[in-house]
Amino acid sequence: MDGPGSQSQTPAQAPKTCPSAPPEVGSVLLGVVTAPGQVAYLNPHPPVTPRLLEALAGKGAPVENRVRFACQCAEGGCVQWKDEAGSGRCGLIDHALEALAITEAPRTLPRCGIRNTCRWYAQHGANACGACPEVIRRPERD
Amino acid sequence: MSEHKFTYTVSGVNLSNEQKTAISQAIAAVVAEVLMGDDPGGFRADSLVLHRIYGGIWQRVADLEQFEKGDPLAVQLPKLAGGVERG
Repeated sequence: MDGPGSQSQTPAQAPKTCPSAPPEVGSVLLGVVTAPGQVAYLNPHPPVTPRLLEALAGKGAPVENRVRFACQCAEGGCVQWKDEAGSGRCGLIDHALEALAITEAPRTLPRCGIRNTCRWYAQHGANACGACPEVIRRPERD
Repeated sequence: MSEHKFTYTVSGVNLSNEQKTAISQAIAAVVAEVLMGDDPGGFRADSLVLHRIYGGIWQRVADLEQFEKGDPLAVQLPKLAGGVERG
């Protein structure tokens, strides 16, 4: 059953998905970082469970360094959010695109299962897909 | 862009939703484990060399290094311990 007001929501107003979510129950597995700047996107996205996190952590590498997760964008509840909830934007992808000097979209896009609702895609279109594989939640220290 | 699709079929038994969920998650875990490989080291994100997420905030590395050297008053890191990190 749809929630209140859900039928009147436009795609732009629909809840967005964060492609750089924390590894916790409530998130889904988006992909695996197979090399710097390269993510193997998985479809479908399995929900994160303690068992899954345990299995991933068993590989030795920090989970947040090697695996990408997605969850519903928390908007104003996230420190990356700029401005007010409902009218703001994700500051993380803005910074990433600027740091990477990305001004054009990749020629081909991966089969990413969250694109329709992706917060970063909603803000920057396919340009965001160029920065997405570069993002690692916990970059290795020098 | 390369794509690889794997299909597994279980027939002859009635699986419960719990079993189907468990199998799906187990497959996903194995796929992720294989993709992660056996290298226990972490990757460095070159794009984050100049900026690094710290305390949920995107910070200049130069500021972070100064902060971490024990001179927190020298650098004003906004909302250093505040907020909830999601992204």
